[in-house]
Amino acid sequence: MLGEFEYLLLTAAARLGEDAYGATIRREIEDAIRRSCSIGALYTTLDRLEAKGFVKTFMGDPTPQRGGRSKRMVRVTPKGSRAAAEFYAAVMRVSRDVSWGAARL
Amino acid sequence: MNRICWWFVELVGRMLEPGERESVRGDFAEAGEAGGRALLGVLGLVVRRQMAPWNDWRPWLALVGIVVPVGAFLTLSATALSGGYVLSLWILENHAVIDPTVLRENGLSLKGGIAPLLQRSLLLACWSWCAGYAIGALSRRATWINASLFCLMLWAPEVLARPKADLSTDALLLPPILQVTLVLLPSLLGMRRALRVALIPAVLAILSAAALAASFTFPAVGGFPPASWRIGLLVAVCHWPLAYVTATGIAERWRSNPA
Repeated sequence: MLGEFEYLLLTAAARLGEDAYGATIRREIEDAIRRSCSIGALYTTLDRLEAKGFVKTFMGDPTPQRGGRSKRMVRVTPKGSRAAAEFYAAVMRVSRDVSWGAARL
Repeated sequence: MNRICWWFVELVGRMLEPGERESVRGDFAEAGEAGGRALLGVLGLVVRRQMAPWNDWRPWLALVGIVVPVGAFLTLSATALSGGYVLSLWILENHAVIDPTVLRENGLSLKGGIAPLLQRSLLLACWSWCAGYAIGALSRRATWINASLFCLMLWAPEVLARPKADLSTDALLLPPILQVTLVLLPSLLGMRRALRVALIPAVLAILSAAALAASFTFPAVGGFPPASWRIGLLVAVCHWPLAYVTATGIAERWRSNPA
């Protein structure tokens, strides 16, 4: 079973597709949770997901807006997609008949 | 201020793997991160990376089983050994003026004192190498933390407890010299060997086995028989890096040459 941050990271990487790497995933997560996301949490979670076989990472090409530095590209594996789908289904199941409308921000 | 923060980001970032450092610095540049926030981010990542090996039990075993007890034991042994050297040097310096009967009556002789001193020095160096090797082999990526604590264990009693006044130059200089040459250097070499994941040289495996046997056989060398069961337990616990290196050396030879 995934952790909630692992799920956020997998989902952000899946949404970004070919453009998924550290900075874009971080921006995507920060937009979603409306809080800052630490780079330490991001990179250690990426390592954990990679160790579990849920993502594959590799070094991409350097770009000028990154000061000529490479990106750590992220691809979600089929195993990662299944794990994220299971997590999402579990959240849906546990949330049935529960209305959080009153607590909506 | 911002430039200072970025200088620290560069400095702290050196503790990361080169690939990770590159991508993290690139992410900061792309996001236009402020220096202070980047510094906090990279510090957090470095702390997480350094703490990760401590999820395993092995670095803890090295800390509790070697760094603390063996570190203290080796320090005490080096201090005790330096007393022997100071005495031998004093006899050597004053040989012409000391009445030989005084030495004889007190069981002291230069000739009879040198061989055990050299024997104990060799044992101490071997013991230190084995302790360093075991720390490196068990700690792996946490070695630098355990190595720093080990050095602290070696030097703290010397710095904190030793009265500096009324001591001869020999008595002042010899303990730190012996600490460095017989404990610190061999243990650092042992750690380096373990981190290179190289085979234990046959001569060192044999030497550690001999040291293990010698420490139990010669009371003056290994502290046996102990004065009390508590000291005996401490000394016995301190033997395990020697046994570890001997067993690892034998196992490695066996695996590389099973026939």
